[in-house]
Amino acid sequence: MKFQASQSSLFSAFQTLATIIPTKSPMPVLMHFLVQLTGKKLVVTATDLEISMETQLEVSGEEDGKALFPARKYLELLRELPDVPIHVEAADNGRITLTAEGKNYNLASENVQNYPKVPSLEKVEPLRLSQSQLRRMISKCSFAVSRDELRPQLTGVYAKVSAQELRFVTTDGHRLVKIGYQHNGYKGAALESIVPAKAMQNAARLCEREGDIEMFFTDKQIAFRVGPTTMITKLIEGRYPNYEAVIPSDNKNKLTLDLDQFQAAVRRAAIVSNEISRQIRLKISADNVEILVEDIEQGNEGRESVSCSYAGEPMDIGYNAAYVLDVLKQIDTGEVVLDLGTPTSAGIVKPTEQEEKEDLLMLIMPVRLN
Amino acid sequence: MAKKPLTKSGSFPVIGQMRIRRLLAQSLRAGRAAHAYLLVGPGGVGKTAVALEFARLLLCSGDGDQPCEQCDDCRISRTLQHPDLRIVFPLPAVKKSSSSDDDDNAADALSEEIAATITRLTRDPYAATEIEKKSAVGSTALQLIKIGEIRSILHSAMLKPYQAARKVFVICHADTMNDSAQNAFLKVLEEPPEAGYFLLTTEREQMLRPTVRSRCQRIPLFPLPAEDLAKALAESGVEDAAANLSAQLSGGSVTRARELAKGDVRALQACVIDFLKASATCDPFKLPAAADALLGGESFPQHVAFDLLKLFFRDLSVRRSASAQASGLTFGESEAIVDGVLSAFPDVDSDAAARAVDECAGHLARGYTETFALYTLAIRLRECLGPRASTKHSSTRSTHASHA
Amino acid sequence: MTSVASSERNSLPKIRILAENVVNQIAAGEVVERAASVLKELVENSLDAGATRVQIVLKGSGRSLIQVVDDGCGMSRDDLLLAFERHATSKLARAEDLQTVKTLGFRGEALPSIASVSFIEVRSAATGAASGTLLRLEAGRIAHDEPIASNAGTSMAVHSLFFNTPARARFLKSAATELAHLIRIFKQYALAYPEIAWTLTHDDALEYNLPPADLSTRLNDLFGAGFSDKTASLQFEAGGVVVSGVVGLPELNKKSRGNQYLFLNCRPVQSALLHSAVRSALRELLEEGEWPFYAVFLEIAPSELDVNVHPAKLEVKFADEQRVHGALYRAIRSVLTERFVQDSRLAVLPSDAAERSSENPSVAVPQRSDLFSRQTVASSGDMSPLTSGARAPDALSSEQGLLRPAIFQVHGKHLIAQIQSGIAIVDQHAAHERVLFEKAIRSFDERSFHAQQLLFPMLLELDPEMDALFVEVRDDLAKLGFQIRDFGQRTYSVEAVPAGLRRVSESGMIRAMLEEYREFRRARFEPLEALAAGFACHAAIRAGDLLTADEMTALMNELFATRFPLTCPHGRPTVIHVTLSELDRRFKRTE
Repeated sequence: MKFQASQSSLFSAFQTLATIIPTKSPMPVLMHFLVQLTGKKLVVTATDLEISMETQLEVSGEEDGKALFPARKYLELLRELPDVPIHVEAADNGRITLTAEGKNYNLASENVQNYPKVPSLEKVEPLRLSQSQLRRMISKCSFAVSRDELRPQLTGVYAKVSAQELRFVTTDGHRLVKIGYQHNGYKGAALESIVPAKAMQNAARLCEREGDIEMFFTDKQIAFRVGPTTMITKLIEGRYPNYEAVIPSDNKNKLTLDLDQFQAAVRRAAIVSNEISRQIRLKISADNVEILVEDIEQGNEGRESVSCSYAGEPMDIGYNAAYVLDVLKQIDTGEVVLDLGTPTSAGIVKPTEQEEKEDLLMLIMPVRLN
Repeated sequence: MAKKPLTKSGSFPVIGQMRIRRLLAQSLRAGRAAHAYLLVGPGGVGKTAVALEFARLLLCSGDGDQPCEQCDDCRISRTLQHPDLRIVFPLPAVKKSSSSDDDDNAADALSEEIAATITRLTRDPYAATEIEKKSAVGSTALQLIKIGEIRSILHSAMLKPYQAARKVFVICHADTMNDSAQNAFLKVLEEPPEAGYFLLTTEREQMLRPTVRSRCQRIPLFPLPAEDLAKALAESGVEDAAANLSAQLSGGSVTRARELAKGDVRALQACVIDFLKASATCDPFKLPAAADALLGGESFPQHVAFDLLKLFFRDLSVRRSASAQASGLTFGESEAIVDGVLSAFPDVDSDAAARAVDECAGHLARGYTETFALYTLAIRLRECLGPRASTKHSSTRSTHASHA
Repeated sequence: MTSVASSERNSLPKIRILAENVVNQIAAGEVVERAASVLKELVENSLDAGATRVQIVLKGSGRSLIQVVDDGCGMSRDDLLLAFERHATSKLARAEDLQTVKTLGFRGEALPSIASVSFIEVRSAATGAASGTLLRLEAGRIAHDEPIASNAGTSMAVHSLFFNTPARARFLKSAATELAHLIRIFKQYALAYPEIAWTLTHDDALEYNLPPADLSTRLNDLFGAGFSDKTASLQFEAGGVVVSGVVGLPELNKKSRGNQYLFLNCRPVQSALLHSAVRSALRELLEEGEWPFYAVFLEIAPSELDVNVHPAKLEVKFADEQRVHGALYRAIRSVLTERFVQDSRLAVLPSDAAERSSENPSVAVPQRSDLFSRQTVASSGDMSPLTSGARAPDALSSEQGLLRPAIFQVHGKHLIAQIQSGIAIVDQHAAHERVLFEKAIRSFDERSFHAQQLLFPMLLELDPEMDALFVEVRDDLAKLGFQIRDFGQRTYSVEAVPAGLRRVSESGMIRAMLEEYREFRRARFEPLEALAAGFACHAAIRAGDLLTADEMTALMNELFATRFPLTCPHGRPTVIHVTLSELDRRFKRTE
């Protein structure tokens, strides 16, 4: 393989992938960039086996081929070279040579045959949507992701794509977020997958600009592409719990509250609540909600009322204040609607009005009062 | 029994254990492979070797009883660098130092050690899978599989495989997981991910929690027959007699057999015979030198000399009871000596002699001087040999023995 | 082979004799490990003889001389001769007698063994006999035997121990170490028999002179005036086990062992089982590596014991270990009063709390209301792995920066707080364990945990062993806030978990708790304590969990409101206390 390109273009391309390269690994090949040249197209890949990143750049190619570049040494050398055309050559014996204006460096490398297979996206149909929409969806559902590694499926974001809708679901068993978006069209097969939370976080970081992002759904991976850069990430194995079944359909008690008032009241109550359990109690009647809090261990207590409109049975229900605040934070409308069933069953929390093409629904489980 | 090694690749030889290897392969092909196996057996019998071979089979995209060596997966797994293969072994606990630079250096040194150990394993699956204490690493002697390692396994187990149909975790010396690590590991054993396979090895089964053990299919590996070992040693260039003796003394362990073969085990054998002769006479002029020679050698641990002594008395019993050609005598071509002793001391009590040897080792362990312990042993051995036969008796006996 | 025959005749007999001696010496090596074992044997013989005064004379740390003089019943010449024959004491006539071992020395191996490695001079006269006997033995052989005039009693002097076994002699430690062993033996018996008068002389200096007394006087005589005030006495009886003696208050805890005295039917013993009972009973008061002082006497019917385990007769076995352990554990727990706890606890109370209880506050601390006001509740979402750096602006009020932070979290696992006398460093996991443990114990009575309902009930399938444990604790689990439905076939559905444990992995919780429960039961915790400890162990925050300021304050407050704030339920420390003077000293700031 032989090509030539400017120091700046090479450095910025390799630099974007540098974060993926593990600093230490029992697999030495992973501490290398995989570099493939076809004609003028140079494809650079890095992987830690969980997340792979790939970027492309145009070079003046001389001889096609592929090779591994030792990441740290190569990148540091590149950084220290002046911005001049650099000639790069990978010999059959695996040695990498950099030549620039009489400077000549020769690096040892690993056998390219030992590099893990790079998943191909060539035949996969992308879903296209705006970066801001994806970022918004991720930020709305992120708080409910579970940290319980014993239920690995819950530590991810459930993502379902169909011809009409992209849907994300997250839950930790105490709260649940379901957010759907009517996209502009997707020709690929409908697919469900569970995306590791970390990967979603990285995807949100890709969504920094105005343009669109492409998502690729496959059996083992999900990929996000912005411009020349693609991030491919492994999925979590297993089945997501049946979230549809736990969304109540017959919650008859409808409570509507002013968001700011309610939020402020809960925040005050939370201060006085027990720092560990965060327990608060809502006494709901026809036109007002009384918020009661008592921390026996510290000897603190408090109460206040917020006016509301309520259609349903009077109810006395306990919540973890932090959960209530988390959920309220996702509401963008002036009022919030709670559809409640019983003091021990899931309550639905929604904005009074959905954003265009969007459908946001949250569940919150109460705490049973003794 | 076919003794042909399963793997064609000469760089990855597994010695013996054919029954277990077939069983594993067959259960996989019959679709009955368990998600977790616990390979149990003494050191050096090939637990890691068998586990690695089976791991490669699990990753292979072919459907044979052994890794096909043709597919992409086999090609990468041969270097043990397969993205869906993870090998874990106990590491020395890195001592925290005040400067974080030192910590980094220690961690770097450790990760180089890990890579080096894996490389060693690709060449020799019997290589040690414990990283020895290194002063450069600044470690204490404690070898542990830490909770962090197990957490990272749990994390990667919950993800789909990278390229193969399965992903395999080989956990060497699983007993070095401490309680919290075992507890964490238990979680993945309870509900193993569909594609995840766990191969644990241990020499100390009892150190594993019963809950961990009960969730693994137990695969016992027995000490290798001396013939298999002798053959393997001979193939690696050890001279036949030394190979035989080393194999006999190794207790069925490849590692020990190799160590023995490295030293001059034949010379030690000569020392043992000298000591026996000196014991038979309790000759005060010869005994001191013979005793010194017996335990004086640098190249072997003490117990090897005692093992050899016991083997000699074992040979005596075998020789006496078996009328058939006494094959498998450790002292091999020293048959004449065995026969000579048998004819000279027809009443020799070889059981008592073996016990006396054990007792002597016990005395040494309790701090008695070597001279003292060995003289006592010599006296006991003399007693065990019994009275010397009359010349006439001994000659008939010896004729009898050589006919047998 | 011919040379074998010729030399055999000359050398063998000589060596044979040597061999027999050797065997005796080897046996001696097992019984007589060191000078202290000789003293022990001699003292036990005196006690068996019913002595009321025992005088001990040592020279050269026992290497030159170990002499024990008693006023006991003495021995006749025949008895004396018999005593030096192996396995021939009068004490044990038949093997069945082992069942009812009541005297201290019963093996009869000791004297011949001692004799075989020393020179011995015995003077003894039986009570009422006209004359006594003087025997001198050299390496086990009787060298001198004459009648003498003597008062009743025995004087046994062992000279030049191990003179003929250099290998063993080499094993003896330094003179100081050997002497320490001798003194320890002496102290053991002096404690066990306060009604006997004891003296001990070493190299002609009188080291101890103990008149007959009761236990507390004997403690003071042995360990210094006022010592017994620092102990609590035990008096307990359950299931045929009688416990008496004393346990030291935490101030007597030492970093090294050597102050643990355990007596079984007045015989000094070692027992890992009994020691662990003391340790686990005292677990809150012991820091890691610390050893408590105790002198504990157990009385148990001899038929329940097996003393014939170790030649030195120190390690005992019990027919019913659980019962003995339980009795000792409860005996100590029952005297664990505030008296035990208060001194050590005051020192590390957070400064504001200490201030309230102290007359002259030396450190100004912000009022608690200052710490709390204006601080907003950090949402649980802060812990979400998805939360990006953008925090809601209201999460940190600008005024907060002006507040003096009271507690810091370092390395995600330790909390550092200012206290009155210096700083306290808290292990967050251990501390939370202690809080949850005591809260759980309370909850068994008052149900202090609420039940957080779950969206997805968790299925729990148990194997028969786990199921049996589960059935044992099921009702108590409900009191902790678990809501569990039985599906039959050892399958259950967990529908609610204790509220407020959001950093906990819920799905594995019950199973992990059951395992912990089993382990704690094995470590002989009482059932509810075991469950509470299992719960606390699993539910507590871990190292690596980042805490908000509120949570840190809450944890500290709750920790110091517990009964035993200084240790976690396992007995590991929760708090390390660094005093101001220690800090000053480390900064070389001496005034």
